[in-house]
Amino acid sequence: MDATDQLLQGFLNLLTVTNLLACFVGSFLGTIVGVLPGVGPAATMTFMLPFTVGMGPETGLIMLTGVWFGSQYGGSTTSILVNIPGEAASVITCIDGYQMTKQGRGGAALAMAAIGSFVAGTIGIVGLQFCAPFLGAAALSFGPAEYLAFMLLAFILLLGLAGESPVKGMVMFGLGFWISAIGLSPMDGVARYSLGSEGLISGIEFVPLAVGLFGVTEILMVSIQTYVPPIMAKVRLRDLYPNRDEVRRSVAPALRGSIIGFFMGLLPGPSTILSTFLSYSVEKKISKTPERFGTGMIEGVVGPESANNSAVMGSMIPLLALGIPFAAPSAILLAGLRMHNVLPGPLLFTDAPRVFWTFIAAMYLANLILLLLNLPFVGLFARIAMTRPAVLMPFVSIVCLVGTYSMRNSFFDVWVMIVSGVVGLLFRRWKFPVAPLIISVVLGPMLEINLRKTLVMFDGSLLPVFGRPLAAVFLAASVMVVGAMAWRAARARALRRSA
Amino acid sequence: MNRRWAFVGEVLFGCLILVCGIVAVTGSVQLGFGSLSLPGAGLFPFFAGLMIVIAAPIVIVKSIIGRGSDSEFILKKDAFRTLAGVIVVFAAWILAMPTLGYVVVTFAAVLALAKLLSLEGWLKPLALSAGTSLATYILFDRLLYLDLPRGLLG
Repeated sequence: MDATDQLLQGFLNLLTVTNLLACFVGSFLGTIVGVLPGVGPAATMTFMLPFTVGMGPETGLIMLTGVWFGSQYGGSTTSILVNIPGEAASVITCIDGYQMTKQGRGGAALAMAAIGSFVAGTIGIVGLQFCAPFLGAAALSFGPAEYLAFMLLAFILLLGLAGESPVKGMVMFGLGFWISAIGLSPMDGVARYSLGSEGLISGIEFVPLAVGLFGVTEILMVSIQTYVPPIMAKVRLRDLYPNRDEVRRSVAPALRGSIIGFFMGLLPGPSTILSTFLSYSVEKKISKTPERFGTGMIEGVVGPESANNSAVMGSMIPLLALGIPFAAPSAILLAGLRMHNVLPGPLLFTDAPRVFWTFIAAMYLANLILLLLNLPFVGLFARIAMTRPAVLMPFVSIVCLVGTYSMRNSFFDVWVMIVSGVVGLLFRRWKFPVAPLIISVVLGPMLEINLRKTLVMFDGSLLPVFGRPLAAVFLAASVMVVGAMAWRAARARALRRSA
Repeated sequence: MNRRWAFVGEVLFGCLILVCGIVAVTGSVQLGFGSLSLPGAGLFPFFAGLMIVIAAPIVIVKSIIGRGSDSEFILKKDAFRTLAGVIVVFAAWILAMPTLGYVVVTFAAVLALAKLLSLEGWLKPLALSAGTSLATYILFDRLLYLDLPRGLLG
């Protein structure tokens, strides 16, 4: 069967009540999550994770990705109307989006952001559809040595993007790998760090840990912040019509944003956020009137909003083709797929093509649903954004508690969730990045297996890894990245000294 | 929490992470590395612990030199009380669940959380508690068959 036939088959598979409902619910919830400041997509995806266990693998994947995808659409609403980003990937949209609202063009900004997101989403899905199987086929030649070298490169790149402090990133990687090692070891079944506790022998489950670090931490954060009710500008349906000039000026930024986002998604790190900053700076740089950025330029809204949508699809490529997540939401998706015994990676396209192609078809549909939801119902979503935390957070708390408990009917897991939430608050207080920890918890067992297999394969030496061309390329790239990071740090130090 | 306590907390938190690293390393030594050609269960956690043991002291020293990092939030007494209250409600939800059952405990937990988060009056918090406990019970227990504890009402 060629790709077109498989995609058609994917659409046919999608036509079940459960899949269509998952697609709609995921997109709808995602938009709400995007609109609500504070509640991020990663947190919501972890709340949803336990409830997707009873669904089929493709249904669960559709719902979770719908949340992630939808949050990128919804994030722009509060950025444009209230100057409060619904989530981190919409921070940059505030700059020109809110200025447009002040000038009475908020409706047009919302409309063009949604249309740009739709264009970028479509380009991203097409890219995913063609690139993922291609990369997957190339990765079929990966052995344990190649995987080991590739993961090393990915971790080093993530360290470079760990925010202000790569050292804190390294601490978090170490903690994540250690947490993943608790319980029975993957190759010889030896109990590690279990302290004789039954709960610890089976290891720390991913769901309680992730719900704690994202969900409970968020609840605790909200509980200590003072609530200031936002003042929302009203948008009527007729305000959504952009004028001809706004449409003309949006076309190129939408296309550029789509391409920037897609390629940024292929790199490790918070690509949905970074792509928006890159897109904004590109638009500003190539503009004939860069000085007008910040005063309500539609290019500064459409470019970044397009970029974050296609970055989601770009991020799906390393996850689906190599089985390696490059960001926290994709690590959650990987954990979700593993719960269904579906292992993303090169064999996904041959062993479980149904999952991949149904997912692609669902993303086309989700993209359309999101466009239809985000234009006429923008007023409804704006009202949802006004929900007080005192009303929202008790409900979210119960969903976290029940979701975690229901995984194994275990109160031990709920305790793990609470402790993770408190520790997550301390991580946030002292600016330790959580994404490296989550990614290393998910990838820890895979890294350990590949490390041990490589050592067994080469009789205790890692030197033959350099003799394998692909692995050698990854290792050389790792060395170059480390060199670049050291050079950048030295230059920054020298600049500080001279200042 | 004033700035001085925030600084002390930061250093202590760094030390706690360092202790985790030491536990990981010593535990891995006890588990055994095996040989390089046949690695044992302790090899991987040893590397994990080593990463922490190398990086955590740098974080601690940086905190001491920088006299604590700037942070987006400093805890005031009221906020600390609310925070502790929310954690106690979560813990109480677990401890009371087997005896009192899902609906009663969830009703009480939502009511307590709503009041802790300053939802004014009693009508709104009571309505929110009743609505949340019943709606989530119907959704999770009846529709998603999650088999929630029934306690005294069971």
